[in-house]
Amino acid sequence: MSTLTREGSRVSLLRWSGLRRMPPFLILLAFLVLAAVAVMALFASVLEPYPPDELDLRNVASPPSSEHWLGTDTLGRDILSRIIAGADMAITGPLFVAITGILAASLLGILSGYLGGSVDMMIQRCVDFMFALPGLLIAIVIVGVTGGGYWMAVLVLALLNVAGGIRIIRSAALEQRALPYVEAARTLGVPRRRIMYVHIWRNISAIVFANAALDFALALVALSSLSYLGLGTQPGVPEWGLMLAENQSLLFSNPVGVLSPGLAIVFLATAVTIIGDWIYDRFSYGGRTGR
Amino acid sequence: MTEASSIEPEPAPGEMAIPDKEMRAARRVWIRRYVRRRLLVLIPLALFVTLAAFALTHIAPGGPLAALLEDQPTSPEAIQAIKEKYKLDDPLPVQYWDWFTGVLHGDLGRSILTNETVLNEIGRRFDVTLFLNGMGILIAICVGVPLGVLAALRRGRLVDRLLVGMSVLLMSTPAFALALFLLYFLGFKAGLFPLYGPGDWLASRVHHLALPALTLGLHGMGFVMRLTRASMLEQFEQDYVAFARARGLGSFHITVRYALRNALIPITTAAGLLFTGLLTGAVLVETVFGLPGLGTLLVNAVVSGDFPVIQGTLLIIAAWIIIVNIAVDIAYVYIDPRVGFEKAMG
Repeated sequence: MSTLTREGSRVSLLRWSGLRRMPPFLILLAFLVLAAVAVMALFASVLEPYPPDELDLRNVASPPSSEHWLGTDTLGRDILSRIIAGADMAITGPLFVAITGILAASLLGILSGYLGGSVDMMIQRCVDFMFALPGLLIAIVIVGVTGGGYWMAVLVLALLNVAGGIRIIRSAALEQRALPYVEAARTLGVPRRRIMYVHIWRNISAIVFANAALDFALALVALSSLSYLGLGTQPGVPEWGLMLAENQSLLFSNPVGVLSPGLAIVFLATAVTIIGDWIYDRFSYGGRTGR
Repeated sequence: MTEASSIEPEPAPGEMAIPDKEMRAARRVWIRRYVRRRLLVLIPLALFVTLAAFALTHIAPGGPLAALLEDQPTSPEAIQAIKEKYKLDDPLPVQYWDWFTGVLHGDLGRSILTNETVLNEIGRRFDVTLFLNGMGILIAICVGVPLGVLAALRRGRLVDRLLVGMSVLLMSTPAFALALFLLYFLGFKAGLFPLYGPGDWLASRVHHLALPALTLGLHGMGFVMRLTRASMLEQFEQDYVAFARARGLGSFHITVRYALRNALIPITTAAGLLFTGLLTGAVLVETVFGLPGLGTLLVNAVVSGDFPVIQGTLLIIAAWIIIVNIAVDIAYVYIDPRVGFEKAMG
């Protein structure tokens, strides 16, 4: 019972997401935010007004000025430059988690949904187990105790994250299995592997990518949370979550500078969520477009 | 209004013919059977979690010895003394067994950092976390569910758009960032709340914990709101709603008594997930506000390698999650009469 409704809750969230038919400017805005962060990540060294690690000892903990647009931190480092430098990490880690999610969900989710039987049973038991675990909490303990670095954190999150995707893709594949085209392919003697990973996959790929976008947003939030706690990232690395922790003492003297890495996280995560919904809305079919 | 009463009691097929008394009896049987079965599965799970945590702390680079020796002069004698005190030379299964039998006697060991019993350390901080989570979940549900219903009723209109936008924003905001935003705007700018610390006596404590609790509540609210909206819309498309409308039942009646009651099933699940989710959120929120709760205890223990505290805290958290899960599944039986009855008969 509980697994059934849990599955239902995630699927219905995707299907009934209120973002559908958003005003186009919102979607455009989301793509602009994503593009801006991507540009920041690719051309960081050109865009940064100062090297992110340079200490400006004349301007320690200064408020925003014409010299330092977002002010400087307690060591005199330019906050704007550090936000630009942090775009790289904000994208690579979550992207890795999302890609792992796509692969695992496609491979295991379709397998589980199409084959059914004992394979399905086994995969679903593992998924149930992982779903019951509080992912971020486990990541905190594993990364903290082993003292692992950023990629350790990314890897742990990627592993803990696959369960949700597998579950969604499984139920989508289950729906497809009953459709005539699958039966037709089977009658024509199309190999099982081809039915699963070519025919069915194409029909549900929109869900796969929409889910990957959700994964990206969640991973961004989770990774920055770990860094905020000082886990997974070395002190001094320009990572948005860690910057919030390091600058927290300046909150009341330079709120704009301290809070902007947080805003960067919120903007990026929101933009990716909106894009994910847009993908689902734009490219998925199968009688659901009316909703 | 005699007409209305004649069509009212038909929310679920299969339920109508069963007398109330029998229903309740079947429900009780099912709950008892269910809890027993669930505990049988979940107790090994708790053991597994602690075993994993145990293995992890001992495989970690340097092992517990590295944590123990921090800030201490390292002579071979000192190392030997510490090894003897914590029985680190015993094989790992023996060490785990010692810890496990200790737990059965209510002894979770002593913290390496403070040399206090783990049970005391946890007991001193438990109330803060419990209060935060309780208040957080209360805010998330009491505000999130009505707003979700409102959005579903006003689907596609401006109110709906704004509410959905708000929930997406809330879901994309990490708990610590939200905490800092609120700390600045409500705590500092508006001066509504004290900025740091847990407060001493009751009223002051509530005042001090209000902002962290609000943070957690808002953190969970986005999720509750979106889910409520989604499952309400799903219900509005059902035949029974169309039928009730056709019979001329009031829209409040349909929304609250029929649709919301059915929509409550996924929402209850969400509340269960929320509890585990807010537990993680509490770790972050406690850190931001510098509150002495279970979250900060765990983070400090993790960072310094204080393995008895890590294991103890994880055990408590595992127990917590298990209890919430059982409570959620029992709640299903009361919300959806079909669940208990089918299970008891089947």
